[in-house]
Amino acid sequence: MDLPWLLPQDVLADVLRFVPPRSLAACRCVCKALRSTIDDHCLLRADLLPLSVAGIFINFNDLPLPEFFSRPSAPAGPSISGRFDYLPSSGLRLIRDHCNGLLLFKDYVANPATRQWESLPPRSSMFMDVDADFTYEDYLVFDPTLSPHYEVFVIPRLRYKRVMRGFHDNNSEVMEKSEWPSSVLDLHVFSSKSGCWEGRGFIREGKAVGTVAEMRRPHWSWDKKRYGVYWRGDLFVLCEAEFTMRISLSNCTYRLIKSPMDTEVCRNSGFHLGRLKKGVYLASLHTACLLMVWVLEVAHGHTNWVLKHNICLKSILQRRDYKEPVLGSWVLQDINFDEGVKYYKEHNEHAGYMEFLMQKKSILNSSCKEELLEEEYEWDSENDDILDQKDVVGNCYHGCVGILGFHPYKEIVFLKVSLYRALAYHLKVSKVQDLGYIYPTSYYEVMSIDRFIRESFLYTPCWIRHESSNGCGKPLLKPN
Amino acid sequence: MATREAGKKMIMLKSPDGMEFEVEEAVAMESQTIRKMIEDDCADTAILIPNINSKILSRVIEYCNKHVPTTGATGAAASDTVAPAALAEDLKIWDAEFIKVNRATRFDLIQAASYLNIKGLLDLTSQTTIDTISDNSLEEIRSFLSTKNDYLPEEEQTIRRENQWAFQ
Repeated sequence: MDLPWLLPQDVLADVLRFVPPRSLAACRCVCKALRSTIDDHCLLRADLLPLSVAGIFINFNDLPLPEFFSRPSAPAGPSISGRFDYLPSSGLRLIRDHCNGLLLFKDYVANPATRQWESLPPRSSMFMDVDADFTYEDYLVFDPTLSPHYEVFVIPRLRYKRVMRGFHDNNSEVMEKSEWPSSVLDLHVFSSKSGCWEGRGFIREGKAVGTVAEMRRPHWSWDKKRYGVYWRGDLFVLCEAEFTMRISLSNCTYRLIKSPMDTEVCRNSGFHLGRLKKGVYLASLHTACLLMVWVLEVAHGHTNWVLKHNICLKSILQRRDYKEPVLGSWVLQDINFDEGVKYYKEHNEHAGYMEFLMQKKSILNSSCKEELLEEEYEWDSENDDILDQKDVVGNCYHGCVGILGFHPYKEIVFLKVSLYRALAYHLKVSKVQDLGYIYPTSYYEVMSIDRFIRESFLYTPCWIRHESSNGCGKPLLKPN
Repeated sequence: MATREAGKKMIMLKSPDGMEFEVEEAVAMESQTIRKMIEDDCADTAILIPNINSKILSRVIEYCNKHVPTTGATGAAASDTVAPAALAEDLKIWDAEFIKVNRATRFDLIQAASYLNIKGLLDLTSQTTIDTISDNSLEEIRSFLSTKNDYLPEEEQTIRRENQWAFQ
């Protein structure tokens, strides 16, 4: 028994300042007195929490900065940018992960809304990309409704082939025959609370599904991003053979969830894991236009993927020429082009290609804007066949469709048509919305070798500023 | 007056029951309230701390003394020789001992920490309250606070809906 009512209101409010937002929201339901203490002192600021989508951060291959694709905000409003000029050291800024408003880079964690950042201490050389059997991928875990602290998980992935170290590699056979996944998953974890990297072991629940040799990818292929989702205290990560790994952070266990489809089929297309309105979702695209969406359902201790949507996108793709530059309701920041122009103006060199790019940009800017605004196409599933039989319309460019991500609070899947267009598919009403043109102007430059989207992250801004504390450990995030 | 050569400078703190405590300025400045008074030149010889009796004030000073070398810019040099992790561990143990007090004292310390604006001390003294509120169900919080649900069911629903995200 505790009686905080003995405290004056102001003091009680001071105490409640330490209570995380999710619990404060619950406290408002406890009784009227507690609610007025919370409301009178403005302790719960839901408006600062990452509860809405501001746009999509996209890592384009070969471009130094991530592009931000969003609905342009009011000129006076605070703007989110892919520039990240407040981070020390310039160079490639590849976003590795996003979780509830924080972005993870190789050596930094940054909040683009508050422009605060923190550098990660160097990690143990054991968990760098020099291992014979594994590569490592980083995942961010952060939920400001529960705690101001974040964690970075480094998760190993089997290489497609063991990197041989000399001719007498005695460990090789033992490794290949060992069970997968291992009975204990040893992870390297950074905790912002302690400020250190630490080892953490997770005990496997359920049986091993094979040997290491069986789980290696059959041939070399491009290492597609394996997205992760942090949901209700668990970290979900796509792993080998399209299994999903569910890591329970609270009780240090982990288990595998079987892929909903035949592995051979999914190896070709790959899955996209993400958070959608009601939980953890998985989506895949087959034969370029069949979109399948599953939801993770937990019943009686079993977790299964349940197919929710099976959508043919062919007719949508045939409706217009998506390659045509056009200004939509959402706009790509085109930061790489802007930085190029800035550099060009300062140094006044490479005039030829720069003028070509500026010309491309002006074509985009002068394109017809009204045409696309909020236009929605209705998808009539009964006419599926009829549309299928109609062949390609005119000279339209169809390209291939890919998944950009899921809307965490609505039933929307964001799609890309090649590198040119972003679409929002509303699952509930089966409507597609053309968001706009995503091709970065810099990509017109002939020097770029491989043009493709490496990763994309649905970004939900978190406006909570982390003040430097006075006597309560180190500041969470350094102010810029 | 109070500038960078601080550390040696002493400040007199007076409790309402007439006791006087001479403390280093850096220690006193662990309190943001006192820091502000010093920076605003409101602290010539002695500072009267209202509402906090000598027993509690002496404990607060004890806390600030222990915590001053590891925080703030002035403390950086002192901790150079000891590994920061070991120092933090040592402080944690010390804090755990410090907070072994009865409830009345703890509430007095919360009030003192709140008035003097010492974030670390406030965090430490109100931890039990914070943990209970953060980790329990509505009914458990109600029983912990010895309070009754005075909402009508419809009212409670409305308040829930205002922050639906927190209940999903």
